[in-house]
Amino acid sequence: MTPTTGTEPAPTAQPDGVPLLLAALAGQYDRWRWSPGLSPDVVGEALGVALTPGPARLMGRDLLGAVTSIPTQPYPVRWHWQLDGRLELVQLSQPPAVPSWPEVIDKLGDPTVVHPHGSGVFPGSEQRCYLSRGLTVFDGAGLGYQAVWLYPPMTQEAYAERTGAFTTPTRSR
Amino acid sequence: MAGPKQDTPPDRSRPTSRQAIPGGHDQLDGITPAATAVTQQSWLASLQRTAGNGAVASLLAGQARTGAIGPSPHLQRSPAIWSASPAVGLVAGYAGSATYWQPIQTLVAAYSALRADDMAGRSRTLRDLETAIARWRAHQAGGWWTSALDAQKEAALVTIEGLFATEESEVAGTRTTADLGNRLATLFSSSTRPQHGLVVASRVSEDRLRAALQSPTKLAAINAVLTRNPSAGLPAGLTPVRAFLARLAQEIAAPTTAGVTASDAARELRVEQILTPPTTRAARAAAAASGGPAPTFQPAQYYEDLTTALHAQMMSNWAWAGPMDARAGLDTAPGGHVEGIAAEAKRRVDALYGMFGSAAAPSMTFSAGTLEDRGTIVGDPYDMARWMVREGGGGDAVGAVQDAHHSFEDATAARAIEDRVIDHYSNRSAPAAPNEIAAMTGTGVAGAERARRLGVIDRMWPGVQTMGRVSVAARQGATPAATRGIYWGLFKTMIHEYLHTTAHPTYNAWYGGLRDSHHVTTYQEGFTDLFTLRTWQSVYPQEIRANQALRTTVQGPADTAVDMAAVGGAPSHYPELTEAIALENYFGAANMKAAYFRGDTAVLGGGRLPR
Repeated sequence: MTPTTGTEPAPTAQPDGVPLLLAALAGQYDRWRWSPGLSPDVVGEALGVALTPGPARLMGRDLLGAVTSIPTQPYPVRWHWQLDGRLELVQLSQPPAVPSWPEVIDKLGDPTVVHPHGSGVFPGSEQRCYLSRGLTVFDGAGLGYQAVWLYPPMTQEAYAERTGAFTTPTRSR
Repeated sequence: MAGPKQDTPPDRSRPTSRQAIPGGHDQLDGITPAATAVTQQSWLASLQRTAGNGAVASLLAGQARTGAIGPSPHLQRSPAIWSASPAVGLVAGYAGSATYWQPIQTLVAAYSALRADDMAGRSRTLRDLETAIARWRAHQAGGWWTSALDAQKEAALVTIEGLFATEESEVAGTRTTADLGNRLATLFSSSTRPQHGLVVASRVSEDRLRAALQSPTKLAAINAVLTRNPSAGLPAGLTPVRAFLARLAQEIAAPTTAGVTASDAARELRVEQILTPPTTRAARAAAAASGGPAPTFQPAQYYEDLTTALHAQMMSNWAWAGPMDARAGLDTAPGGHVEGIAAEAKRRVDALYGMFGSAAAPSMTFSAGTLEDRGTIVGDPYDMARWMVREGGGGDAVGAVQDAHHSFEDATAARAIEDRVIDHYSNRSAPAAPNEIAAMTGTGVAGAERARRLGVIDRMWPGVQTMGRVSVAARQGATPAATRGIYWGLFKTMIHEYLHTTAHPTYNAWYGGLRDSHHVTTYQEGFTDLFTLRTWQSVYPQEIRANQALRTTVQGPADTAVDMAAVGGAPSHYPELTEAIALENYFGAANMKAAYFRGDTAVLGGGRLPR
């Protein structure tokens, strides 16, 4: 895997993460900014659902996990929090973009790093990582945008070690 | 034929023949002619004489096991056989006290009258008889002298006790694992005959014994039977089970270190030999024998041949996945039926591997996202095609093409072509070279439609694990009987996929760095298949027959039937299970568990493999 690197705008501090989370969940991914207050209770209240996160594990770390269905996303949204309630990872599958994917991609600017397709959790997609935003767009070319991930701003090393983005699905035979 | 080979819906593609498992299913209950110096034919004849036609028929009809230490638990004894023993007649004929001797007579006679299938009665009577004999002996020990009649009684009782172990073995096959563990612990610690527990244990497979005894609460009993039965002088037939129990005791006492050994140069070399695919070894040997050049990767027509094979593989999977996609779903509510099966699968895996690391993995639940119904996902055409080429080709059309082109001899060059086939076939991108356009056009299915079908196949795939999430296809069968089979298939699939979630991240990263897909698949899937098989063998068939709670968990609360046809045989597996077993035989299960569950990859000895 030979990633290519680029530049992206520096993130701005956000006092309240909920409106930006809801905007991102509605397809405005360029508005996403992580906030330390996005706990399961806060997110559940914002979405109007009762989240009951349970034990989960990601890359050897014990976390809390939950799944919700929301009107703005076509497939269930997967959530991971750290045990202290800080949001760790949000996974959107085949997400729509508002107003459109080309415009959102344009607003996002250059990604921090692009990991080519061929391996990883969605091996058909290149991973366009906006690490200081805490956002990855999984671009499957002819297969469409396969996923969007939201997470805290982090380094490339932390991205590989914490998110599981480079693990490959295993199958029964 | 390609595709998911779990024993689930009858209309899914299935292997045309079971993969041979060394030391496993293709043997007669773990008893080989080579191991016993008895031919299968003569052994069966002997079995027929001692246990009757029913036992032989049952044995031949039943699935064989892996890891059996001694004769099969399928061997059918019955109280009728017991009653034919001369010792039973002798006991009945000797006069004795109403307090100590006559209870023994009553129980010996009562056992003879029990029905063969009255396992509870047989178990209870044997226990009572053992107690009565102990009381008689205790009374005798307090006497001033021993008469000739007392000596005759003692001789008859010794013979009766000889029958105990065989009867116990039969009964053991009908006990739940928990009951078996408790009974063995009692026999190990306090049976009047030191070898009694060993004899019963010798009739139980290693995996079932592990499930029954692998607990710190059983360690004292295991150590007791080891102390009561020193290696020296032990009958040869009991030596293997004693060795196993000694190893088990060490592992219970020190699960992270017992049996774990460092790699060395010899291991590095041997592991590399084991992990060379059989077809590659054969091709190299043939070339060497003929004096010709060593086989090399043949890139010409590789793209075309691979495309044709991949298309055949996709179409065979489409034949079952399309209809399955149209069926109704199963109960995937949080806390519902499917989640209960997942909990049972975890419980069974952790019974064998929990102390080595598996138990730390979270439970599989829909609400936490550690369990998923694949019917709710979008499906990934690219990953489905990637799997068919990279991991699932062994033994199928794709694998045959890879063998024919000697792809193993240059993994990098082969992979470059495979990448293009996967891209183009899944419609991620369009081919540009004329030969590649022609190959894709030759499939007769447009790229968008190929992608759609691959997506459906992916959604209906029996089991996938990603990022600690077990994802299963939970669809009903065409009939209630088929659905019952699907539940057992889910149980097997969840054992396998749950095991993946327990693999240490360091282990996953280690094999992920290997260049050749055969090497990767051996560590990723072969090891998982081996642990899956062991777990399955810890419950199949005795626990499934004996434990109604297990059956209702898997089949549903309203379905208590014992339907071994629906249960099916051992979980299907990757061909690389063969290599995993070879590695286990070479450097031991302890090293495999150290790497898989705890990330101690240095013990595996794969440092020479291409990266």
